Amino acid sequence: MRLSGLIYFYARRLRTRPAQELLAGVGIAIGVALVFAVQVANSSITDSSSAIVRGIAGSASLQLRARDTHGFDEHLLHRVRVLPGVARAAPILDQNAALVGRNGRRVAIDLASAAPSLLALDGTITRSISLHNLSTAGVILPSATAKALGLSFGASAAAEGTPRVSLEVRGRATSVAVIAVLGPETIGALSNAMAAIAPLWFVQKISGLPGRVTRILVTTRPGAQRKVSGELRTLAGGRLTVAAADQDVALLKQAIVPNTEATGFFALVSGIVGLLLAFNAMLLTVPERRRVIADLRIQGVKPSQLVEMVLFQALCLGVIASLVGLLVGDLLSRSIFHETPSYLATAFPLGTQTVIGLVPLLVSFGGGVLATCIAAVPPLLDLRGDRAVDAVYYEEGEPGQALNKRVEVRLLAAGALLILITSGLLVFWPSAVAVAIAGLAIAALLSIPLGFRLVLWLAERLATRTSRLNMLTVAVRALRATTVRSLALAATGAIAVFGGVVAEDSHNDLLHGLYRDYGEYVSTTDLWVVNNNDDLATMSFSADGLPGRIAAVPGVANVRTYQGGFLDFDGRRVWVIARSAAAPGPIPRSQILEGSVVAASARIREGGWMTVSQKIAQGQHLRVGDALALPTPTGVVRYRIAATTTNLGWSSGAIVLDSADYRRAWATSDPTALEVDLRPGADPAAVRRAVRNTLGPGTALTVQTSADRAAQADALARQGLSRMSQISLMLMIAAALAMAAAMGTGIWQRRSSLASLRIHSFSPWQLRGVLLCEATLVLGTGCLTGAVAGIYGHVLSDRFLRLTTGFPAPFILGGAHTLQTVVLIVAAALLALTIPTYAASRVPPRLALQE
Amino acid sequence: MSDGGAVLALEGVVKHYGGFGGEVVRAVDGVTLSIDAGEMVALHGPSGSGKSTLLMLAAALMAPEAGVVRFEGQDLASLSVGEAAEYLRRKVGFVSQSFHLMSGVPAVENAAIKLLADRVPLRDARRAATPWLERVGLAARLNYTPEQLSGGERQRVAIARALVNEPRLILADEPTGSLDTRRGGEILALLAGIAREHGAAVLLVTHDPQAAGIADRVCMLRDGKLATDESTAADAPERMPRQARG
Repeated sequence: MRLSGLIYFYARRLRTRPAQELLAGVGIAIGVALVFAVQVANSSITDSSSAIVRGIAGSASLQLRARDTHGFDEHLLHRVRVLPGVARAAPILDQNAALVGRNGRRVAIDLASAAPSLLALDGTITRSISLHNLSTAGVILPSATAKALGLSFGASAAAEGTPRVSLEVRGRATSVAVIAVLGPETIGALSNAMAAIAPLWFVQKISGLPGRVTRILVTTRPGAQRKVSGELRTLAGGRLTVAAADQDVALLKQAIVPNTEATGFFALVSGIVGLLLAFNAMLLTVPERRRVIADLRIQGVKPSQLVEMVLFQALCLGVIASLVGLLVGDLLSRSIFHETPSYLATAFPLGTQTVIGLVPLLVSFGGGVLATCIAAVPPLLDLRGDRAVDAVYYEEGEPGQALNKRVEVRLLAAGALLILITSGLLVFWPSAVAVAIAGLAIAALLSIPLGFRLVLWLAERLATRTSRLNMLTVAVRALRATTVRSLALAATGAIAVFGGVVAEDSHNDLLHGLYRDYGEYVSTTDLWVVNNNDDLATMSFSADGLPGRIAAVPGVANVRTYQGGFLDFDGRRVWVIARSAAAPGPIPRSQILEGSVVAASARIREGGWMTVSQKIAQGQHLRVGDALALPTPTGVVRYRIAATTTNLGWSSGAIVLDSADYRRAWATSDPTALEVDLRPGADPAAVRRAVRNTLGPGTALTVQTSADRAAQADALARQGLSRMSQISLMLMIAAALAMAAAMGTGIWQRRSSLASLRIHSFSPWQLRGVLLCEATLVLGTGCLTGAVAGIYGHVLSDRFLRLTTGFPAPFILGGAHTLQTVVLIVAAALLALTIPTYAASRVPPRLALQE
Repeated sequence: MSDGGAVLALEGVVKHYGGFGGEVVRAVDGVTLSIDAGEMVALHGPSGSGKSTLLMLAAALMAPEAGVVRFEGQDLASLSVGEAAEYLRRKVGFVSQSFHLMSGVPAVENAAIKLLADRVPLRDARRAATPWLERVGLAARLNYTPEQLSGGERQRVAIARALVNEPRLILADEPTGSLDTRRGGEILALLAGIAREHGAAVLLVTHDPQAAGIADRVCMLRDGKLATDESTAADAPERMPRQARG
C-alpha cells in the first residue's frame, strides 16, 4: 500500500475513533513514562556523584587513601611527590559534615579541603577557586547547597555582607564565612552538589585533625600509572588503600545496587503494568479494527496490505505515545522521583543533578513502540486462511466481542502452565524473580476470561433470587454482549491491583524489616549522644572526658563508648559497628541469618570474632567459623565469623565487632556515639536535659532517646525507599484513571442503546443502576484476580529482596492493605465514572430514533 | 376533531429545538390529533418534519412548549419523572426502526426487558413474554440471540417487546424501514391486528406506502404542522368508530 493510502486510512481512523486512539496512546505513554522516570532517577544518583568526584580529582587517576576519617600524616605527601612517574600530587582532608543555615535547616554535606596543589589538578570545581580563596578562613559552596541553606547570593547578596553558616564536624559547631558560591556558570552541573570546599589548613583546624589528610590524589606521567600504583602500595605498607581516583563512584554504584535493583524491580513491575495497560487499551479497539479489516477485505484489499496498514497505525501510535511518555517521564524524574536517598549522603558525595542517559531513553522508547506493535497484532489473526473474510460478523454478541468457552479454558490452562514454569524457574534460578513476576502478571490476565464467566454466572444466580436485582440481570446481559471490551477493562484493574499489591506490600515488609532491625540496634541503651544527623553513628568526635562528665549526671547508670565508621573492602563501603563488651545484645537478634545470636554475642565479646552480612560472606565464599581478613588502618587483621546477618539496612553490608578489637585495629579511642544507660526510675526527659547541658556550648552533638533514634532511622528508610511507594501510588492512580477513561468511553459509545432502554421505560436511575452493576462486576473481577495474583507476587518479591539485595524483608501478608488497594481502585474508578454515568443515564431518548 | 374517549389526544402541541446560530426550529408546530382505542394512525412526512418528536411527546419523554398531550384524559405534563416512567412501562409500547435488541441475549429475554424495569422476576418476565413471541410467529426462536435472527424476526422481537406489557398505546417509529416489502407488510398487518384485538391505539410513523392500506387514518406532517388527516378506507365507520361518532 502506498504511503498516502496508509496515511489516509490512519487519518480516517483518527477522525472516527479519536477517543479509542487517545486511550490507547495514554496507556502506552503511562508505561513508557514510569519506566523512563525510574531509570533516569536511578542513573542520576551515580552520574551526579561521578561529576563531583571527577570535578575535584581533575587529572588525577590514583589516590592513596586512609581507611578511616582520622586520615594519615600529611608529610607522606612529600614521599609521594618524589616517586618516579608521579607528575602531580595533592592532599585532601574529607569529612562528613553538616551545615546549618540562617533558616535553621541542616544540610548533610561532603566537606572537602583544597590546597594550592589541588588547583593544579585542574578539576572542574577547583578550577574556579583562586589562591586567594585558599588563604581565607571559610567555605566555598555550590549554589544548590547555598540555596538549601537559605543563603542569597549574587548581586543582591553583596549588600548584606559575607554570610555565615554553622559548620558541624567531628562534634564541634563552628561559625564560618561563606567566601564564595559557585553557580552553574562556573562549575556547570556540579553546582547541584551538596558539598563544601575549604582550605586544607582550615579544615584541619576546625576538625581537630592538624597535620592530617585522608587522601592524596596522584596524577601520573603518561604510561606510568601501573608503576606508580605499585610504588604507592609499598608506601602504604598495608595501612592505607591505593585505588583509582574515582573509586568513590565505583563504591557508590555498588552501594546503590540493592536500591537500584529494588527500585529497578519495581520499575520493571510498573513497566510491565504500564505496557499491559497499553495492551489493554489496544485490546479495546480490537473489535472495531476487526470489523474494519473484514470490510476492507470484502472490498478486495489484500492481506499483506492490511498487515502494512495495521502495523503503520501501530507504529504511528507507538512513536507518538512513547515520545509523550518520555516527556512525562522526564518531568517525573525531575519532580517526584528527584529526591536522592539521604542515607547515602553519610558515606558518599551526592549531587542532585538529573542526568539522562542514552540507554534509558532507547529502552523506554523502543519498549513502548514494540509493545504497541505487538498489541496491534490480534486483529490480524482474522487473516488466517481458515477464517471466512467476514467471520467477525457471525460471532455471538457484538461483532468482534465474542470469546468462546474453549478459548477461555485454553487461556486458563496457559496461565496455570505459566505459573508452574515461572515458579519452577525460581527453584533453579532464584534471582529470576522479575521474570517470574512478569509471568505471573500475564498468567493473571490469561485467567480473567474464565474468572469473568464465573463472576457473571454467580451474578446471574444472585440476580434471579429477587426482582430487586433486575438491573443486575440487565447488566449481566449487557456484559455478555461486550465480552472483549469487558475483559480488557477487567484486565486493567487486575494489573493495577497486582502492581499495587506487589510493590506496596513488599515496600511495607522492607520498612518493617528495617525498623525492626534498627529498633533492636538502638535498644541497647536509653540515651544516645551522637553528632547531629549522624543516623548510622559513623562520625567520630573527640571525647575529651565527656563520658566521665555524663556519668556524673544524676540518674545515669553507665556510659559506654560506641565506635563505628565505613571501611572500603571487597569493592564495598561496609558499615562497621563496634559495640562495647558491656552492651546488651550487640547484634540485632532478628537479623541473624546463619549462626546463633547467643553464641555469636559471646564470641564477639571474647574478641577476634565478628558478624558479617551474608552478601559479604557469600562474596568471599565464607561460612560461620571461617576467618576473614579485614584491611584496617593498622594493617590487615583476621577475624573469625561468628554469624552472618542481613545487611542491617546498609545496602553494602555491615560488620559487627567488639569495641576493644576496633580500638586496636583502628588505633583510635574516639567514639562515634556514647550509649547512656539510666538508673531505674530515672526520668528520661530530665536526664536527657541534664546530659545535653554537659555537652557545653559550641557542640554539634545531640542527645536522643533510643525511640527518637529509631523513629529518625525509620524516617530515613522511608525517604530512601519512597520511590517504591511513589511508583505504587502512581500505578494505582494511572490504572484507576485508565479504567475510568476506558469505561467512560465505552459508556459514551453506548448512548444509543441506553437511549433505547429509556424509550422502553428505564428511568435514569435504573440506567445508573445498570451501569453501576456493570462497572462493579468488571472492576471486581479484575481487581480480585489481581489481588490473588498480587499476594503470590508479594511472596516472590520479598524473596527477591532478601536473596538479591540482602535487605531484611520478612513476609507479612498484607490482607488489609490488599483489600484496601482493591477498594481504593474500584472506588476511584467508580468515582471517576460518576460524571459519564450520570451524563449517559440522562441520554435523550430521541437518540434511539436517529439512526 | 373531538377527543372524547380518545386514548391519545394532542391539542395545539408545540415543541421547539434550538438550532445553529440561535435559530429556533419548530419541530412540532400546533399539532392537534387524537387516536381512539383500536385505531391505527399512520403518520407520513418528509425527514425533519417532526414525526419522531411527536412520538417522544406522546411517550412523555419530552414536554411540549405549548399545548397539551393527554393520555386517556390525563395531561402527561402533570406526571412526575417516576410517574412518566411508570406510564411508559405500563401503558406504552415503543417500536423503533433499529430494533435496539441486546446483543447475545435470547429473544425471550429481549422481549421481557421492559418487565425487568417493572421489577418482575426474570422467570415471570420470560413466561409473560413467551406468548407474545408466539403471537408474532417466533415460538421456535425463543432462545435465539439477535445475531441468529433475520431482520424481520428481529423486528418481530421488537414488537413483542413493545406489547409485552399489553399497552394501551403503541408508538412505532419506522418499524418497516429496514425490511423488504413483503416483510414490511407482514409487520404492519401484525401491528394492526394486535391493536384491534387488544383495543390499543397505534401511532405509526412511516414512509411505507403499504401503511395507507392498513392504517385507519393517514396523517401528513410537514414543517411541524399537521397538513392532512384522512380516513383511508370505505369501511372507515366500522374501523374508525370515533370518527363515525364525530
